[in-house]
Order: sequence, then C-alpha cells, then structure tokens
Amino acid sequence: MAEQFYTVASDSETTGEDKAQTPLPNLAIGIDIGTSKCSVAVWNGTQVELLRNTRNQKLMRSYVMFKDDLPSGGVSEETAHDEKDILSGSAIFNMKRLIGRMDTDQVVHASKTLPFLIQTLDIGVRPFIAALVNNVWRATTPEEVLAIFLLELKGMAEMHLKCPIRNAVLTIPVSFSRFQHTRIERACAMAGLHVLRLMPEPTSVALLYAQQQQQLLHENMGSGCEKVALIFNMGAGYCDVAVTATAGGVSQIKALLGCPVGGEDILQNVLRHLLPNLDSFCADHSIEKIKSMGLLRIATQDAIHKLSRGQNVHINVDLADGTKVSRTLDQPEFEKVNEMVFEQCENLIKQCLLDAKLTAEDINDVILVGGCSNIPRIRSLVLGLCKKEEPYKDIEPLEAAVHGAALEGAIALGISDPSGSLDLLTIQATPLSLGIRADGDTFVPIIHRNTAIPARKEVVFTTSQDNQTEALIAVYEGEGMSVVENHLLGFFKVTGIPPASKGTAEISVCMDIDAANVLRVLAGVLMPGGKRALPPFIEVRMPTLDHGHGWCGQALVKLYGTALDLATIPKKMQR
Amino acid sequence: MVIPPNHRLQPLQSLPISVFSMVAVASLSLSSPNSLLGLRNPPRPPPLPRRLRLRASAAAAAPSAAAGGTLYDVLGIGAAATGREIKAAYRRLARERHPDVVRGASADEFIRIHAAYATLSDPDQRARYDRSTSLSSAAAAAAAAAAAAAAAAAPPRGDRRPFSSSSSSSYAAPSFARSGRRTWETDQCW
Repeated sequence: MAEQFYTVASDSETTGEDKAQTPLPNLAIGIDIGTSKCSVAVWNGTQVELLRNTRNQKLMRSYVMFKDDLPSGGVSEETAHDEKDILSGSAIFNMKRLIGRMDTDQVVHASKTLPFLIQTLDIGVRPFIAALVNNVWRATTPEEVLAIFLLELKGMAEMHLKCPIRNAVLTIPVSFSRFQHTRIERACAMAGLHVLRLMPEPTSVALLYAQQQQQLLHENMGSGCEKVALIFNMGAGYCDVAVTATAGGVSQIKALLGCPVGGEDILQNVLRHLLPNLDSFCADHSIEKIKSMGLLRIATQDAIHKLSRGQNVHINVDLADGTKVSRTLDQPEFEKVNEMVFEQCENLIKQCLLDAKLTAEDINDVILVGGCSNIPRIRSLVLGLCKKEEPYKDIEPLEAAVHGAALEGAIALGISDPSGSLDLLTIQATPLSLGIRADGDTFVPIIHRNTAIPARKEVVFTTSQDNQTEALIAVYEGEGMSVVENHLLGFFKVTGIPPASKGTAEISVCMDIDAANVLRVLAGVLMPGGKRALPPFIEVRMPTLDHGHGWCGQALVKLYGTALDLATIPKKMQR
Repeated sequence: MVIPPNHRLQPLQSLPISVFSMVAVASLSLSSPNSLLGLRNPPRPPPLPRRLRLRASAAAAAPSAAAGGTLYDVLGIGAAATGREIKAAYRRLARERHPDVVRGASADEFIRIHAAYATLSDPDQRARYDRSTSLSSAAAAAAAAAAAAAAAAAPPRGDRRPFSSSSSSSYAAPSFARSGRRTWETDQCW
C-alpha cells in the first residue's frame, strides 16, 4: 500500500536510527498547513521561533510535485519549482480544500478548474485526483499528498532542531468536520507525526493574543480587565471568525464560525469573469489548455494582489485556442464580481457576534489575519462591522496561526516557562453542532455549537414504532435542520428495547467531548422503575467512518430509516 | 489522548465521590481541613508555577468534587455575587480545574463549573435559577427533607437527567443530601 510506504520511509530515513539511541525530546512543533502556504514554528525555550527552509523562507508554498520519480514538496530544495511548474498539472496543491471531502461537495466541484485532474461521480465517496507524470495521469489522494508534504516539513524541522520530532499541533479551519480531522490525523500518521491537538486557526491566534495581553500586564501596561477580540482569518481556502474573551491568561472562545470561502474563490470568480467559458475550457485537460490556464491563473493572481494597493490593473494573456484575454480590471469591478464572497464574510461576522451574545461595542480589538486580510474591501468590511478605525497591530497576519500552534504545542506538553509566558489556558468551543437523526430525517442536536469543551450532554429519545426493539443511532455533525445536509460521523444500534407501545421506552443518548476534543457517544435503554435487566450501554468513539460516508447515510436511511427510527420527546415531557 | 473510560453508566450506582477525587485524596493523603471551608469561600491560591499548581489543585479539587450544593457553591461565591465576581471565580477555577491544567483529571469537575458559570452569568437564567432554588427550598422544608422531596426539589438545571447525573456521579447523591443543608442556609439568608 502506498500509505505504508511513506511511514516506512520516514521511520528508516529520518527517525529510525536516532530513536534507538536518543529518547525523543519533550518537543512539539506547530504547523500551519495553509491552502496556499505552510509554516512551521517551535517554542525554543524562551519564545516561539519560525523555522526557515534552505531558501530562507518562513512561508512555503504548499504543493507536491509528482514530475520526477520521487514526489517532492520542494521544502528543502535549493531551487524551488516556479508557479508555472506547479500549474503544469504535475503538481497537486490546494490539499486543504480537498481533504476529507466527498465528490458531491461543492468545493470539490469548484476545484475542477485546477490544472491537475479531479473526477467526481457524485455518489458520496472520495473524489479521484491525479497528477500528470510523463504524460500519464497518476492517481493519488489528498491525504497522501499532504503526508508527503508534512514529511518534508518534519525533515526540515529535524534538521533545524537536530533531534527527531514526533509531536505536532496543527491548525485547521473552523468549518472542518470531525471526519476531516481524522483525514488530517491520518496524513500526519503517514508522515510519522503524532497530533497533540488540532486547533481551529482563529483559536490559535486567540492564544497568541492572550499571551500578548498577559505580557502587557506583566509590563504594567495592561489594565487587567477582560479583553474581547474578534478574530477574522481569511486565507486562500477558508474564512473563519472567532470571538475570544481573555483575562489573566485564560481565554474563553465565545463563538466560532467558518466556511470554505477564500482567496481561491476570489481567484475563480475573477477567472470566470475574464473567461466566461472557463469550465468548458478546462474540461478536457489537454496539455496546451492546462498550460494557458496556468498563465491566466498567474496573471489573475498577480492582478488581484496589485488591486490590494492600486485602483486598476491590466491583464494580458494569450490562450491556447487563439483566445486572447486583454483587459483592464478596476476596483469596483473586482468588488462586484466577488460580491457573494464579501457577503458571506459579512454574514459570518454578524452571526458570530450574535452567537457570542455581543455587539460591536463590546469588542476591544479586531484582529485581521490570513492572506485575504489585505484586500481593502475585506478590511473595511470587518472594521466597519466592529465599528473600529484600525485593526489590532501587534500580530503578523501570516504568522499568527503558526505562532499560536507552537505555543499550544509547548503548553500541551506541560513545558513551563519561568517568566510565565506559557501560563495560558484556552477554553475551546465546539465549532459545529453534534446530534443524531430522529423523527424521520430531522437532525436533533445534542451538543450545540459553541459549547465549551470539555462537554457532556444527554438527551432521551423514545421509540417511533409499536414493539420496536432496536433503534439506530446515526450521529451527524453540522448545522442543517435535516441530516442530509450534515456530515455522518458514524452509527450503531441500541438493541434489547423491551417491547412496548411506541413512545414508551426511553433511549438515552449521551455525547461526551473531552479536553483533547475526542468525541464519544454513549447510548442505551433506560427503564424508569423497571426491574427487568437491561442490556449494557454502548460507547463509541466517533467518527467511525472511513470514506464513502455519503453513500452510507443514504443506505442507512433507505434500509432502516423507518423501522429503527427514534422519536424526540416533547420538551414538557422531559424530566 | 487517553481519558479514563466512562464506567458510570447505571444511573443509580452513583459513587459518593468520583474516582478521580478518591485517587487524588488517597495519593496525596491530604484531606486538608480548610477544604470544607473551601466549599463556600476557597482561599485564593497564590500564583504557583504550573507544576506546583497541578498538585495543589488536585488536592483542592477533591473535596469540592464530592460536594454538590448550589451553583454558587460550585463557583465558591455568595448568592449576591456580581457578574464580575462570577466571571473572576469562573476563570480562577478554570485555571485550577480544567483538564488541560490538571493532566489526566476527569472533565466532570470543569463541566460542572462551566455549567454553573453559564447559568449564573446569564441574568435571565440566573433569575430563573434563583427563583427555582427558593421554591425548592420551600418544598424541601415542607417535606421535612424526605428523600423523595429532595429529589423532586433538586437542581432545576435541564441536564439533571438520570444519565447525566450518573455520568457525573461525583455529585449526584451528595448534592441531594446537601441541598437540604443549603436550603436551611438560604432560609437564614432570607
């Protein structure tokens, strides 16, 4: 299996021999895997240090080139692949947008204009992706690509720190489902990394903010009062918003919200604006067209960057089939083309403030991070909604997330710092609601989103049929009212329900999230006053599903939907 | 991350105190006398380095895990506490009891602290809670602390389901016993 190949390679090449001689150091690296760029940082004993590659870069382009026999992420190479190479079809990038997504996902469909091959069959399984190697499309998976890249990052960190590294804290988008978390963990395992924590990106920025506030206090410059910050993070792939309240080194994440919208969507919108038949142009994936699409992509990307500083920009590209794109793009036009994106950002911020039960007046600082935070419209939008003139200044927009991840790594390992700069605690919140299917296809949340972690909640359900002896517990994650809109995490049956008329038996479903964000579902039959021995409860760690969960969900509903359905108990009746 | 599996599935098998707190007390043999005092007015611990604090708080956590009482007791504040005091108490307890700080600790304790904070920091919920505790104290007085009445009058919080009370068995049984005592105190206040 290809997956094993990488684990073995990492063990023998990098850590295998060292492991026998020296014990693993108490060390964890923080990794920010960006859709477009990655970075690695570590707590060096006194402060966080961002590691540089051989080309002296702190931010490295995220891609894996499959052109040669040995796939390469270009982290430690003397000369980097240039963007034209990366867009030649031979490299896979945007892994973070693809990992753990099904072929029915909008984001996967939108990625089909990328130079490498993506095929979808719309049946709820992993999409097929492939890179061009010697004129042949060679299949791979997002996990494998990410693993190869992570292995290079790990190698780079080991070179720097001169010791083997095992532990890592990774930042992830808020909107990632728990299923996507398992895919990231899988990729890390393939690269020989043990995941200490997966941190939603804005919460890692919140940790850095909390540390800075503590430092101000130590220098007698802070007030010691609670400070509330809104963190807006928009990179190439995702947009996240968080509200954090921090005092005395304790940060409470009040609300978290995110969606898969980012610079890539902005780029695609502009591409579509310049070339209305973009989809059909990219459909056949011929080498000439890939090449000219690459040129157009580079030119457009460049234009968008220039629009962050100027009012208009000229784009001039010759495409393969004789089409010529030559025109001027100005700021109002750019904003109109991306109206939907900005609207989504606006809604996220409004909803997040609502969820946090706060208004703009309660916000002390607005923190803008991520590559898209340079876009003038985004800046004015976020600051406007929070009624602020200027964003918070002491945070580097592209390095904040990895900085926080490195801090969390040191904290999670229990490293103490004499100056107290690691004396921090983040009380995390759940970004998505967790619940089960009941009353037909209704999603009944048990742990609502923005619940403080660790959390434990229980809801009692009842049977939907007379003499029903079994019930299906199908666990979903998401905000949709119907289960079909949410992610299926796993399922099992509660059996041995004493036969009775419907609505009599009580089936308890309890969800437990521990401090490390591990979800367990416990379910079983309750029988108030009953003397009959009941079967033991069932405890399941979720998610249990591998790929194809969309398919599974449909099959479950079709086969067992009615017979094993659960019903909710009206609020009044609940004891 | 390995957490101790949850063994407390049967609602009625509630242990007097959680496994964790027993271990903590046993291993540290530190049933400190001021732990009982600590219930209502825990002395503000001086800032300790993280590792030191770990041990100290593990010992301190034991008695209050066994204790139930009102949500005010959980946060170690008086019933007249201001919003700011509630927040400060919550932060202080989070720093001592959060499983990220007390490594390997059960999450029950923090979940209770957070639930108390969530109710008391919301003015509406707090008012409702205060009303229901005063109602329940009347009921308890009437029923002369009969076990049944105590159970009925007990905590108004929605998550008082048989399962969750057992899953946080650390406080199920004792809280009933104590709610009687606390009721008496509340009466005194009034």
